[in-house]
Amino acid sequence: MYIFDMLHEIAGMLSPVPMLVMFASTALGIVFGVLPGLTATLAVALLSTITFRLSQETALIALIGAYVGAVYGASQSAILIGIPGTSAAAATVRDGHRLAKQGRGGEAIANATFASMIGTIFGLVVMMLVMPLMVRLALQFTSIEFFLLALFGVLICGSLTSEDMAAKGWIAGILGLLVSTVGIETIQGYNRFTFGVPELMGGIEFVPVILGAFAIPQIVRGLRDLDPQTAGRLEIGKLLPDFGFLRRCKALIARSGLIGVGIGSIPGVGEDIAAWASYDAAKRADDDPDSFGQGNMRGVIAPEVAANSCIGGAIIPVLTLAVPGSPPAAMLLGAMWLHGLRPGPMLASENPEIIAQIGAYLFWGAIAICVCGLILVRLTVLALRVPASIFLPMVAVVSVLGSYALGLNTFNVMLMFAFGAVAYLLEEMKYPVAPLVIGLILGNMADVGLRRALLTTQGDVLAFLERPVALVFLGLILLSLFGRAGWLKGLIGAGRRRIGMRPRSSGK
Amino acid sequence: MGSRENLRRADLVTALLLIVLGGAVLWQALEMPWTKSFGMPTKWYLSPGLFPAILGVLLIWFAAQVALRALREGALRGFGPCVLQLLAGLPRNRAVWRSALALLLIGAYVLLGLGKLNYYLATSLFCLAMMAAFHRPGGRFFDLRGFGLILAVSLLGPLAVGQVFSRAFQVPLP
Repeated sequence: MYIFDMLHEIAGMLSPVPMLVMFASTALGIVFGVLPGLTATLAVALLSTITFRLSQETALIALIGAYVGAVYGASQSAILIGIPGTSAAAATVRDGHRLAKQGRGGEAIANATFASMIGTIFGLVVMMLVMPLMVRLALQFTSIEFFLLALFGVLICGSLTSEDMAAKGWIAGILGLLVSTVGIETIQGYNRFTFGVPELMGGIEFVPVILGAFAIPQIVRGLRDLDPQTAGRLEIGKLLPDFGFLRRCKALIARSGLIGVGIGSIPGVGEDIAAWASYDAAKRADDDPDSFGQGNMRGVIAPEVAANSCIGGAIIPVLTLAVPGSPPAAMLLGAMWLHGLRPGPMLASENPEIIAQIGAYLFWGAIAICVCGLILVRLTVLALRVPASIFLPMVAVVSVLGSYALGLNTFNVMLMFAFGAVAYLLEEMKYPVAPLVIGLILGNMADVGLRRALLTTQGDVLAFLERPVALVFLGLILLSLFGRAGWLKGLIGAGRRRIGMRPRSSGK
Repeated sequence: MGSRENLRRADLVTALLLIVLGGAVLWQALEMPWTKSFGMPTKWYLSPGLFPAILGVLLIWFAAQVALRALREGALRGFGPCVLQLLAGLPRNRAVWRSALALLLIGAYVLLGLGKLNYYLATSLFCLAMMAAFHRPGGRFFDLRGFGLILAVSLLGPLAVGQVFSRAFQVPLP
């Protein structure tokens, strides 16, 4: 049903302004993805601050273009210089950079570009097919399920994104939930944790927090570990995809796409984990697993398809449950709130066209990465020559102005800086930042959901056990807490160990 | 963070601080109205303190897990001498100084520059200071061409960003 509406929207977008916005924002996203230290979340966060005065349609086109572009763009620096632009491309480095050293960098980039496009469209198609079912399922959710879903989201995100102990991820999530409780609460109008500061009464704005949490640690780390010779002379070679090879990779693409969508739909678990899991699955399934890491093109295709199909997967819970599937999707959710949309079970009835529209934006985003990605390769080589000591201060300026632009007050800028400094210290001690952001986004849902649920059951907690979906979530929460989500983390961890690489601890 | 032992020592200290934070949150949550709201009787499950209280308990529980793991992995072994060694090595720890300098410059721009000085002046000064502190072309401390570059970027970058925000996105500059 949504597929046909989407086709109509795809045709409807064929006019100069939406196309210009889509291609420009995708190109900007690619530049963000290419430059080590700038992430997809940061690209979406920065754009959401400067596009919130534009129309909802234009803003969403720009945000989705930047999101798709940044997830893909990271592969170019991964292949060319062996440094992943974002952690989503860390798995691509291993074979991609080896291929570049063998003089096949252009072919690897072209194949990665087509794999990313196919991955995005794969994720989009699954999203459109799953969406009607998810909308119906979401309508069955009551406050109990929303509370448990929020709690599960924070815990599973903490379990899967923590490189060290799972408890560190959970702590980061709890800190995010705590930050969300600041301000006047909605049920009794009580002032919580404002300590007499009037600016805190309206609650803490999540955009400056996300900007700070993702921008400041990257800037500080980038300046701390400066490498004066980021990129020397880079030979790209012929920039042509091997379509015959891509056709032979049908099974690999389908498997990686499904892994990407599945992992994307798990709250807060993003493109990097999808890429590593699919790289590992590709290596396991290959006839010659030892060739992985030596310059096997399948080692480029698998993570790129998964990272990009993850976008569609991450958007499914955003639209139906208001639960972000990844940090950039969390920012997208925030931007939708800024534009007056209410993602969640009622979205499909309140804005019947929005799901198809977002599908159309994703489709054109996939086309745009293919066009811009191939055209911009030689320009991105130039961008890679800009020293980090020159571009990171400018990123700081844009982040500061972006935080200011939202409420036109310097308090937001101070919040951004404070949260950025705390996030940097937490990351240095191996506390992941993604659960903090997910906690901040889901905090209100968990708080209000819990109290409304208890109101409906007259304070009877055992009534939670009478609802089947709530029971499933309770089981998953217990599994996250006591099973350490070993089923998935074990798979990813085993993959990373076998590959002999660790992804960067930074955000997506 | 350096070795695993140092990480566990830091974990222990952080976990203890988080336990204190969890306790403070729990205490603040229990101070919130539980049975009366604006003089009217109300149910405990509608209390604004319910959710923060749960979070306080969870924070204490999870932080205790980190602390116990750190203790099991020998966080207390040679704790004192190690802290003294870390403090003594601080003046020579380049990474710490560079991180602190970056944070200090951003903090100065946010707290002392923005909104207090003209936007272009504050931002150009910030960019100039940041780039002068970290830009070392070819590893040299001073390079005339490199200085020319950072001077040009410090003047033109804030101008371009300011124009995009104020003209294209209609955001009044601070």
